[in-house]
Amino acid sequence: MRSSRLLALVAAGAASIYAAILPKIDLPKDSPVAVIGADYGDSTETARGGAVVVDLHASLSLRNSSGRHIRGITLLVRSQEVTPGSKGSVTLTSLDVAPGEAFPVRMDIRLLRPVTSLGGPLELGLDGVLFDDLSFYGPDNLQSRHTLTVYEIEARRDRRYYKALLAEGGPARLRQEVLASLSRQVDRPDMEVQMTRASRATNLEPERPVQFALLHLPDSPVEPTEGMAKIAGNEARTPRLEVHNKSDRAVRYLEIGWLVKDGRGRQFMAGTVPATLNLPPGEKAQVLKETLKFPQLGGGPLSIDSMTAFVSNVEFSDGKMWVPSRADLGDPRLQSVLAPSPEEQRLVQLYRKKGLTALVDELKKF
Amino acid sequence: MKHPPQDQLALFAGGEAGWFESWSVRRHLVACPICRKRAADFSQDRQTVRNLSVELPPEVEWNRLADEMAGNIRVGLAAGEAIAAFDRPSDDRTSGVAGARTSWLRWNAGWAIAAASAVFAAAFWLNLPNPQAEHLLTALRAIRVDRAGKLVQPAAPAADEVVVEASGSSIQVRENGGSLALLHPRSDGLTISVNMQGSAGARYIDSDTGQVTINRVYYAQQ
Amino acid sequence: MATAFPAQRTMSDRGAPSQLDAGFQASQELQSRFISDNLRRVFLLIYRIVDNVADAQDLTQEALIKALQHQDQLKDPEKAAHWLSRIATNTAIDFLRRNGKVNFCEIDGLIEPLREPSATPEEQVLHNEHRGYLEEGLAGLTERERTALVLRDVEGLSAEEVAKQLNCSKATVRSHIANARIKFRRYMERKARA
Repeated sequence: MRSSRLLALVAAGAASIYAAILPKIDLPKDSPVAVIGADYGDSTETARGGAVVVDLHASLSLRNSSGRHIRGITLLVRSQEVTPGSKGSVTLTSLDVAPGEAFPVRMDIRLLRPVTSLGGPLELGLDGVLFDDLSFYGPDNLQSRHTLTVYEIEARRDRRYYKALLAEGGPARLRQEVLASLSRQVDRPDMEVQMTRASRATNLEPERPVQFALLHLPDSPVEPTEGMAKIAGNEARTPRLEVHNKSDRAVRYLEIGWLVKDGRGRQFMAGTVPATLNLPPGEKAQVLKETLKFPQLGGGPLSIDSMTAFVSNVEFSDGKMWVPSRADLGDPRLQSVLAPSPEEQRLVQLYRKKGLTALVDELKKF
Repeated sequence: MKHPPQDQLALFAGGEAGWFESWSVRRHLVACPICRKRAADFSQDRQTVRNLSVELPPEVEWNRLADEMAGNIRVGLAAGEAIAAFDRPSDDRTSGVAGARTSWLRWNAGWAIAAASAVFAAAFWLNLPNPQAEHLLTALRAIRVDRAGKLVQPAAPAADEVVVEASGSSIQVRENGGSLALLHPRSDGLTISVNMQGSAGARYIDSDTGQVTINRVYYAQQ
Repeated sequence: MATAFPAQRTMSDRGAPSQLDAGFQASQELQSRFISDNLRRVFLLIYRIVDNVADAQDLTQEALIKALQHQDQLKDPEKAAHWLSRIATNTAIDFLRRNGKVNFCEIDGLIEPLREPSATPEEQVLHNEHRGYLEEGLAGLTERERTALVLRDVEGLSAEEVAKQLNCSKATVRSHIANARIKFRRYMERKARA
């Protein structure tokens, strides 16, 4: 592994301040991306009470040094001294970076460490790069291969969908669909979320058995068949969920999405739970093992009233993936709570900022 | 010497004084340097107000604000057109395709109206205002709507319990008295997602580059 | 500046669906240009009246949407800028009437001191650091005074036209304008002494 320390600041006086907080960037020798520029212009380190706060504002310029188009990238962000086991990542998706082309990555990171801690540099590394042929490069410690591939498949699905609308109904039809997507995004308020460690018992509410509601997506190769848990507050203890592989291929990984209704009648997408398994065609398996601890929302503790499970995506043993179709996503139970794909979000934002012509031109590129 | 009242001088400087007042003040100014200076100051103030009124308030990032407003206006016009099509009686009763298209428009426009109306109900209900959603909603409805609800401070769990937090401005993970946070700018369409095996993410569109960016933090399992 | 209005185009004009046709594209481009040509001016005009960025944003959007939706009411395209300004000021004034419950036909006394924003000392320091003195000077006026002053001295409307806009008598408007200028002058003198 080759490491490099980049100093991108002009003023010599500032260099001494920034030297302590500049990140260490580790990229492998054969990395398909290279850092060609870095600017940490507004970064600071300040003492506040018994803590030191490092605000790192990094504008990196990376170049695609491979021979293929890059569709997505995940960078790992870590501070061994401040949070030894925990880490962060920055993912860019819906990219189209040609060989030799440069692209920007912006990160705004805040580290807070007690004054007694030694401190240490922030580390930036590469977790993975996805190419246009869906091949992947990288250590994949953060499951970024799976995630980036799902995003890319969703992107292709959504672009096909919008192009079909344009072909059938013209720009007016496309615009109406984009407006509908925008309305759904506006309808879904921002959530503030807190998660606590799964291993700590944080609520003493009495348990009650709850059967899961199951949402079947017609095109899904795997479907949930039955499930239940003992619900106490925001925890689903001793959960059981059985899934059935309806396809003719073995499944090695899937993600279960959870729709939760709380005691106040609010329904929302609470999160996903991954499951690694080896499920032959036609077989069934249990996929949950540990207590599910649902995040708390801004406004107070969560009290689960009911839970609905659905299969959010599937990875087969041959590496191919399945994501819900647009028809599946039209289910009203999902439509009101599920976020759009990154590509849909990008295309809708493009329409908002630059208008219909720009959106049509963008769709023509793919 | 009796000086004219201030309001007469102020109006004289702007040309709003009546003809008799103006004549009277003009006569006085010939002999009174104090009032001459005063009138000149009022005149200068008018020019100052004019010159400085073309400057933006310092807290405004104009390019970003202009982009947002232009986007919202575009959306508002398009939504208004959809609603107008809903209201307009269909002229074509012969073509099945046109009829199907019209009924789709009706459904969609009606849905858009209902969706727009539901936003504030949802925002009030969840007590989580979204300033940018409100500006967009204003454009969608093209009327001024008062903000509904106030931000309710969430009940704080014990500080050592919370390991991951996601909010409108950052996601962070805490461990050992330290924390690592990834900040995101205020942007439209911010989406928070949770993987219940130990991570939370915030997805947004970078307004400068148009790139989809997903920040994620992962906590160490015990 | 005379700005061409985009040609109005309705759903039923679109004809058979196909690729984005040149006429529709031209209309969209004209619309975008109209917005970009007038956005800043309208925003500033409304902001000076309502004295709040967030409200000014919403009202600016509302005014431009109204203008583009009702462009058939504009008889003389040469007067588009003036017409748009009227829509903008009406939108702002209606907002103040509804939300601030301002009655433009009441006259404020001159004896009351300039309003200081009610803020903590820390906020005031921050406030003073960040706002220009024009902001402070205008913030010290009542909504009536500020609106009348902006319409008269910034927009250049005559006192009669301001009275028509505010739907009150010319005498009332003259009082608003005079009070506004006196208070602003006092503020400038205090600034000069400080």
